[in-house]
Amino acid sequence: MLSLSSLKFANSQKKKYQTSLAMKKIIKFEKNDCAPCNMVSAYLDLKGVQYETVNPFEHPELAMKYKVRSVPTVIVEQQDEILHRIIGFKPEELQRALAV
Amino acid sequence: MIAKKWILLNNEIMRKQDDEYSLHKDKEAVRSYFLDYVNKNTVFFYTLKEKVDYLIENDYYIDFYQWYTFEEMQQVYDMVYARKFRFPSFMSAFKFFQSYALRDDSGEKFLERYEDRVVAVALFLSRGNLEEAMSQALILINQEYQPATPTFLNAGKKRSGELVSCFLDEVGDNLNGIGYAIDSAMKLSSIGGGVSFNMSKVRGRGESIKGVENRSSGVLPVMKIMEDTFSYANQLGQRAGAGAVYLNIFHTDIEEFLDCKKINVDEKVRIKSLSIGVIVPDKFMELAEKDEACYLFYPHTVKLEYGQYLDEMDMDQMYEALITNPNVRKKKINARHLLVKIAQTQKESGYPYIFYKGNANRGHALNGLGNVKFSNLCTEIMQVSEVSDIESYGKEDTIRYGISCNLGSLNIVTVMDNRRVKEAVKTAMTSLTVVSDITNIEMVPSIRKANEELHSVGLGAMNLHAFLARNFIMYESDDALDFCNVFFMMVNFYSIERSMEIAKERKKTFKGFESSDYASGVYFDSYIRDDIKPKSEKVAKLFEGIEVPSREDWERLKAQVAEHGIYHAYRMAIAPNQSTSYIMNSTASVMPVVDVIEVREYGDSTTYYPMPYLTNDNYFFYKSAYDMDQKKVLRLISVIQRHVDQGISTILHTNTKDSTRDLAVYYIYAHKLGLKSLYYTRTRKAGIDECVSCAV
Repeated sequence: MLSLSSLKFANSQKKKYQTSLAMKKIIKFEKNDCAPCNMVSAYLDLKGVQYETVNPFEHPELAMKYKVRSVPTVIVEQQDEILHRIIGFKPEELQRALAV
Repeated sequence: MIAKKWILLNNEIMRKQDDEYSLHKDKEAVRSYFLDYVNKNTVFFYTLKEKVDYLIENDYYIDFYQWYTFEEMQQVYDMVYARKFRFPSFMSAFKFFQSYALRDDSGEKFLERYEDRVVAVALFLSRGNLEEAMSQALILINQEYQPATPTFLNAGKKRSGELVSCFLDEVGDNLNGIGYAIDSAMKLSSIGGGVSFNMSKVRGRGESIKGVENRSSGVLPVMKIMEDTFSYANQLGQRAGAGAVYLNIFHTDIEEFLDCKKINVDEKVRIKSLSIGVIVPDKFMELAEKDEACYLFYPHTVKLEYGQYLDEMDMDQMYEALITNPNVRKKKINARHLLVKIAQTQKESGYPYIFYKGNANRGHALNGLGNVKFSNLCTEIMQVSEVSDIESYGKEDTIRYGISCNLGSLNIVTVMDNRRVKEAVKTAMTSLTVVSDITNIEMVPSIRKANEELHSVGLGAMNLHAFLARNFIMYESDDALDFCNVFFMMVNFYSIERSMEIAKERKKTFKGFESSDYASGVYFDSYIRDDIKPKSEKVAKLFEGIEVPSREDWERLKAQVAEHGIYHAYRMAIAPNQSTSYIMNSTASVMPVVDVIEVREYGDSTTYYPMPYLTNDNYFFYKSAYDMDQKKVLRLISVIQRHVDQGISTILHTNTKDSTRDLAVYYIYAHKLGLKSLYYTRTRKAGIDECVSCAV
């Protein structure tokens, strides 16, 4: 379980809008004022994962493309193939999917 | 307690499978609602003849045989039933049977289905013209047009209220005038209308009566009486009375007027059930913008000095003169502080409405007849009005214009789908005209005069947000502006064309047509100058197969109007429509939706209402109004406003974190954009359930 201080630290270290250079592309769908979305960000930042963030209400066409139905949703994609879809803040699933 | 099956099915919508809402469950809920409830509680008739005769003989319907033979009626019923109408969502079926369907006198059994209500409305409004009845029935069963609740609910019924929605009148500055207003309020409220009064002519607190200073107690006590009047005169206890009062922002009582809506104010001055609106002339916005001192004026001293009401003056011209005239009593305040006070009151109570007088009169086609001075309960009616002089017994009263208006709305989705914008607008205009024709409010002469001479109607529209979402267009986008610009231009065009045709048929225009901008042709200038066509490819595709009136068409229309005139002084107004939008499976008015799936509590159960045409794919196109940039919403409304001769009920959606300063910015922005009014301001409370789309 993450401690509160590490979450805060992670939040301040947030790096958004950075495209991963690796083959795998990680997209996180999120929305403002959404607590679980922030928790996912904090977790990814803590693990040093690079990802893109998308607000589905600003880019509904992307939400449609990836069939996103709720936030937070993390999509792990490799060459247009969706490898993983993690809905909500589920650290174990995230860990498994991202192998971090 | 026995759980109702249809409620359970409806609730299953929210159960997510593979992260998708079970939206199809709502269809099952409708089916169950019919099979397990409606059908079991509907009076059964063996034949149509038996049903029609029963309804007429038992005083449920008026005697339709005075206009139609049975065979003619059957033709309309057959056509309507052949369309195989099905309610697309549980909420629309529920709302219809709960509030609109005719019940027997015990209130337990239904006598009408949706189809029957549609036929009754069509037969009633067509007064024996079978062909017309068929067209009226067709736009109703196609759900292309929805008359306002008073018309849809009451048409054809023998024991019913009036068909008109909305009345407005001025209050004169003497006991006779105030008495007339209260008397009118009582009568109009009892027949089912929302009533709005302009109080700006009533003298302020501390003004003189019969030359004795400090005797007047101002507008608030009159409002108190009004409030009690509306709660007393309801409609047979079925519907509470509803009223609104407007006050000019330069009236010295304005601060108390705003305070009456505060929650923590003394009971003696608190006005709970009356709606309030502020009339804001351009001059005030200018003072607020420059952050200058602002003077409020005692209206009676103004009237004594100039022989003209403060409320009827052009403040741009008169403001300086009023300040410097020592005979005019005044009070100094700060314009920005007052604007912030309005914002505070709105955050607390949602009120006041704001009526931008300057904007409402710029481009008002009837300025030759008089000015628009205030608005109504939903801030979409904007017509010329003038205070009547009510004399004592034995002397002749001088009756001038009150305002009466009946409303209806087009369903943007169905008229666009069916490629029937022209037909729907024209048939809707005919329908509204009949309502105006058969309305005769004898008991309030100023309202009757206005209806008889001006024949005003208000055609609006609903389902805008769902239409855009269904076509994958964001409400805040430029494509949305583009669509609205073309669509509402078309509505404007065909409503004028139909009004001209009626004037031609009847050889009669509204009174004063000659001095209007329609007669001079000025009204048509901008349409003849700029050809309005869809700009983007995406929007152009939406209009494929629909003929969009061109510059040449407008030129032709201008000539026809010059020759024949038009029948209606006012034609369009976009109402907020709440209950009717549920029946029509529509998003309300031209406003954005508030929730993607609305939660409603009814008595013992919670029901869910997914927005019309919502699928798991277009979910994010139904962005909540609270999450939208309000400036973009106002921008869209301003585009629609260009094509609407009256107003649009515009709701501001704000969040708790928005400051009063943010609100004041919206007021100034709305004014700059040319909006004529702002309706409620709604504030979303911050909370844990704020995250509507979170799955976890």
